[in-house]
Amino acid sequence: MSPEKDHQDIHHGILGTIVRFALRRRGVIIALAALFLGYSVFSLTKARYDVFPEFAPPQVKIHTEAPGFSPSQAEQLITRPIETAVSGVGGVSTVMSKSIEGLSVVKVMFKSGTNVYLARQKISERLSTLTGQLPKGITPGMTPLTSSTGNVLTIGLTSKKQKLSTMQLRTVANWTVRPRLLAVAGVSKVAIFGSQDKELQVQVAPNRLIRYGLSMEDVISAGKKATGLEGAGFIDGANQRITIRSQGQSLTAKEMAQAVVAYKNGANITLGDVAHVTEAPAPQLGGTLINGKPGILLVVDAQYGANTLEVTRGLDKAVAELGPALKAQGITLHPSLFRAADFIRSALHNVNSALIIGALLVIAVLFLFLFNLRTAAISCAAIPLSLLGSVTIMERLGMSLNTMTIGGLAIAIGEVVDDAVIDMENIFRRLRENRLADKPRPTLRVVYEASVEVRSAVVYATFAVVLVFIPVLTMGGIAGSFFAPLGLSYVFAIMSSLLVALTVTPALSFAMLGGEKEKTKKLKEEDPPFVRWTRKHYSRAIHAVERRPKAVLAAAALLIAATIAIIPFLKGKFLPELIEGNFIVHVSEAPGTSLRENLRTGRILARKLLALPYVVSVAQRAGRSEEGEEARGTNASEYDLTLKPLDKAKFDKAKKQIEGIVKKFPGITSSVDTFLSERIGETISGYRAPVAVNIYGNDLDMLDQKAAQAAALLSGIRGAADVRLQAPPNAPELLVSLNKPGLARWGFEPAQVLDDIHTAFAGKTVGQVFEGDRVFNVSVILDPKSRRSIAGLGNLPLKNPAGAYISLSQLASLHEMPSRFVILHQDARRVQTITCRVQSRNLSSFVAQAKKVLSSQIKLPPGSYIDFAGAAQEQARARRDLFMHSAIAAIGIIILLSIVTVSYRNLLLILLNLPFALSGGIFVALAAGGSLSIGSLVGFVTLFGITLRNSVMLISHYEHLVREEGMNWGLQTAVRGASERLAPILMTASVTALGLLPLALGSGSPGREIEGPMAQIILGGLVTSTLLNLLVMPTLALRFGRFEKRSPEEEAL
Amino acid sequence: MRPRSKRFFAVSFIFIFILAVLAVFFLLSGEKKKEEDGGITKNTLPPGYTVTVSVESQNAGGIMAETLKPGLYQNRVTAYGEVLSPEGLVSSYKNYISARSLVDKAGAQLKASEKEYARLKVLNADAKNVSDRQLQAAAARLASDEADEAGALGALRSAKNVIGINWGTTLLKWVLGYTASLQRVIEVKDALVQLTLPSASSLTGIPAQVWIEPPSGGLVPARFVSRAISTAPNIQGISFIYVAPALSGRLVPGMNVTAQMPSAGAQNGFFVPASAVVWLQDRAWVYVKESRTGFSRVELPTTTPVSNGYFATGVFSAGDRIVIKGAQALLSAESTLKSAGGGGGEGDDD
Repeated sequence: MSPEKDHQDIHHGILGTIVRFALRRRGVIIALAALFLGYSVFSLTKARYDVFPEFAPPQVKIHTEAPGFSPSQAEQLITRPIETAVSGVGGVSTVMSKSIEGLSVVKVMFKSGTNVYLARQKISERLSTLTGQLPKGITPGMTPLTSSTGNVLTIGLTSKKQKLSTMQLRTVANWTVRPRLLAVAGVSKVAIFGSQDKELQVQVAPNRLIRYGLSMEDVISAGKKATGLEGAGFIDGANQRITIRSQGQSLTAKEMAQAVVAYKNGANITLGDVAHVTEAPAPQLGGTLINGKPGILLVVDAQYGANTLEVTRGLDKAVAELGPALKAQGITLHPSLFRAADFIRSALHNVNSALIIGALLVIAVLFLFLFNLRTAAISCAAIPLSLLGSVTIMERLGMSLNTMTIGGLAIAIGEVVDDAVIDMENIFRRLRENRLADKPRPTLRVVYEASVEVRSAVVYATFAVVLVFIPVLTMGGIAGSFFAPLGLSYVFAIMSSLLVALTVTPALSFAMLGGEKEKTKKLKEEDPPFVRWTRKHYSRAIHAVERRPKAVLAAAALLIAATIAIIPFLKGKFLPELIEGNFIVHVSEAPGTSLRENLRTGRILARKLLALPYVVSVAQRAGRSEEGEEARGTNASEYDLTLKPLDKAKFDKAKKQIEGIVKKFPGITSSVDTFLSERIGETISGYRAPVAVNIYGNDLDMLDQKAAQAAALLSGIRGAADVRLQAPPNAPELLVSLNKPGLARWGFEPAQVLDDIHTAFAGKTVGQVFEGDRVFNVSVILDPKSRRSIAGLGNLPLKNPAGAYISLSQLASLHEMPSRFVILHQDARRVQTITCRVQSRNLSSFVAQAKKVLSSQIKLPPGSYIDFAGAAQEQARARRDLFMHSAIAAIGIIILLSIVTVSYRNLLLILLNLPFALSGGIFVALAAGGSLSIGSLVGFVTLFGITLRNSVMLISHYEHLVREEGMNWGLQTAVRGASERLAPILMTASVTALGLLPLALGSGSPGREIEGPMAQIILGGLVTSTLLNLLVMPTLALRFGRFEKRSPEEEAL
Repeated sequence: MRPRSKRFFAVSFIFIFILAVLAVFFLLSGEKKKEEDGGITKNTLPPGYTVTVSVESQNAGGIMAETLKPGLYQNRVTAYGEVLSPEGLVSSYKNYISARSLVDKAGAQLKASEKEYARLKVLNADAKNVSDRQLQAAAARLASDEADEAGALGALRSAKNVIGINWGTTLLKWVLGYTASLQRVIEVKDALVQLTLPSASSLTGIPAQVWIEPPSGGLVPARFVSRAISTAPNIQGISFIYVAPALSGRLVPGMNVTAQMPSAGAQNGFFVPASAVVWLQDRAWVYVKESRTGFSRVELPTTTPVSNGYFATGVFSAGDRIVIKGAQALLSAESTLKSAGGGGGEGDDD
């Protein structure tokens, strides 16, 4: 090792060592790269594909069915004890609950990053402590773990000419379709909507009870006896053990009807004498119409972390297998009433095609600039290596490939190419210079030095870009969930690119450009034609600028000032509308609306919606199902609309048209959303609307009153739309108040009366019957006619211990009274929530005004208060986070850049390019509709990173020319430096711009909704920053930069 | 160059710094000031229980109004009954007959004793043609027969009382007169049915004829006989006895039956179907179509529930059109207007 070489190694440190190793072992490096490429392509096949990153924080839902319980009973007897049990579990961020008729749903949300399995374990342990604390027969259960976009497929069953009832369809769905779907790998839950399960119902006629002198208890007892099944044991003989199997229980309605209830006057009184024993569905919680016809919906949810596309493939196969059997039974299968995979496929296809088109454009640009197939090939090789490197890291970390992570890769293309181009271009130039030199040095040495020469600045610039992304990586809330994966994939890509630039690019450069004399000869003596042409014109431009420096600087300052002036006029929005192939229409009528009325509306609405040319199917889910997680009453419906493929303009028009149709229905409040937009909204605030106002307090009446006042005030604020109370009052409730003297007079126990009411109107399960491997409940309930009216309840005959029949109206007062349809809690406090949408107005300003109006006009009692939630708050929080972390990152960047630049002036010159970048971005945002989403802000962050890197490269090249090559700082050096950096800067800019161009242009197509605006911002910013970097920066550097030759002290170091 | 460059540099740095601060400020505060005075519009609510819905919306929502149907309504109450066994009545009749025969027998005996005593008395008085002893014996026989007759009469009265207590005066008369009705009952051509109203029910008048529903189904006409002396202990209401054709075993003793009994006089009014009724604030309401687009909510008295609806008197006028489809939609529309949030309940959870 010569002393000169030692000096070089020490000078270039670890980077030099890596580059030298790569050059020496170029064969190994290239082979490893090829191997890695192969492995990465293989990884791609295993990667998990999804439309978005998992955006919901870990959460556990506790679902407790409480048949017959009113909302207030469910709240006090079930929700409260559960909330008490789960509160205090480590890592819990929020506990939200809804108590509605017959159901309590408690949602426990954990802090981001919490292990969801551990969270479930903790909740499960707490729930086990509730044994004995809840009413008899009430068991809380955790719903299966699904991802935030868990619903992967919705299929429907209808009967041809309605030969089969919905109950029969339900039986098929329950016992034939569901087990097959659940067997598909990755499926966590299949909820069935449309009809309740078949039961063998003993529908008691109250008149006949009296006629035969029987009580409800007698019937229940007879039902139990008729269906009771006991194990019979075994006979243990000397040689054999013989199992005893007893049978004889009633299995059919006919057999049940013959079961004896009592023996009177020498005759048997059977269940058939006092009741109609029949197969009937359990009391309905919900109903379904498919294209306006009664049917059954099966909603399939995927497991947490499952690959949606793979699960859908499995489901498709299962559905195809079931098809013939269902057809044979006269059942029409609707195989895709909702299909998440369609959007994922089209979104990924669009993003991928944008990536591929971008990559092809990049290759074309590279060839145009380099005009050499070999150099273009070397640069292009860096693209797949770096991007697949990022994909492999993500796959190893368990991250999915989604529109956000792929977007990150698309953004990174520019820098990836830049890394390779800077290196390769310098090697190319130095090799050419070396060939023309009098005493050419060894090629390996030239390649090594050329590579190391630019490496230091590139490394620092890369780390500066990583720092720039810190705000994106550390963003909290849902914005963080979306954009952190984008940032990570970007950072992984540029770090992979750095590694490629340090190893593969020098190795390939030497192998392809410098290995043999023949190859070297092929290097043309002049720059490529396009570069020559641009340099010629660029040199003229710089000189022109230099002749009028003040005017140019003033124009630049004016541009920045105009930019700042525009900012306040831009509207803020959280996330843009997603163009999915579906709409979800939510429709609510007044609380207490019956299922029948709801379905009547549904039939009319379906007919009108199906008349629209782009609507393929309409599936209505009215109310809820027992497996469904939605705490929805019979007054509310969800319509899944499947659409034909639509572009953005038609999609927007379709949405307006559908909204118009729904709004024409009297008394309906509605919302039209896409599935993912809705899920995002729900994750943010628990509601779909972007503004949610919570009023906390203990007194429900006070909450109702204040909420109504707040709703009226919100309705009056300009831009407010669809203002609605989430827990509206005036749900009809029939209060049965037992009359104590009456009970005492007739000798009744309150519990007996309540039990009879429960049996009569909610039904009581008394046993099970079997049909092959199918099990159905046997229940006792009042006949449907007697259950239909308030008078029926009053006439309910109750038998006292003396055998006398007294009607319920003699033992209790019955009053229909306004009540609450739902009681909401947040963090174990009662809350009334008012939600609204904002039209034709900035969301942030609406919320600001709403806060002001509500705080000044609503006076709350002590202990009560108002807070705001929803997208507006989330947006504000995301912005705050972004700016706070940006400030921290900025300090880090300044520190890092101060290492790479010799003077703080040069550092400030680098930073000066940022406002230039801001201008283009802001003008593009203004041109694209004048709104700034969180995606746009992330676009700015990305833009700043790219701009920073370009500035660093220019300024550090000036420093290199002066300090390393000994040139004197002046116009000539400034022009030479800028000209030499012209090609890489233009290449980086055009490569990044063209890479993102398909994303930016197709921002209205599925999958590009979030990244489209981001790409537009980056494109716009790149134009201004590149122009100003190339034209204004040399002038500024000439005047304010400090570029001095190495001092003797520095030389000594 | 250098001092000038320093100054320019310092100025541009300050300029950029100020611009950056301004940018951050504006981005954070949005366009708060611009929107500050976005005025609050007045919430105009329709007065009272009325709601206006355009014809287009009515068509969209399938709202349908229909002219009320006038009618004559007879309110009925279900009575629970049992076919009585004629055995008790037959037994009572037997007891009565035997008591009466005893009376007859005692009467005849007494008559004979009286005559014998009178004859002996004359003979005794005529020179003691019969001895005093014989006369005394005849007197004793007479006294004994008088006592026997009194006893037989008492037993007869008792038998009548028992019949009266157990079956009531009407049936007592049947027994005393051995009427054709009694004969048909005894011959099991007719059946006696005791009908009892539920404990909280009452009638303004006793219907002369009711229709009985035997377990085998169908309806059998029954004529009023009398109020029952005792109620059915398990029903605890007022009770009546009716007689109905036994129809070859369709009504046999011990059978439990029901009967619909008119509880009051027939009334004129309107039938309101259940589909037209909405409940709010402990009251039932019906929407009356007042004009092409106007509906008013009218309270419906629920004192007369009928099968699948209510019978209303004194509320509606002939020709009134009430909403029979979509009443709940109108209630929703009304509450949406009033609370700006009637629909509510997204029902997500989510």
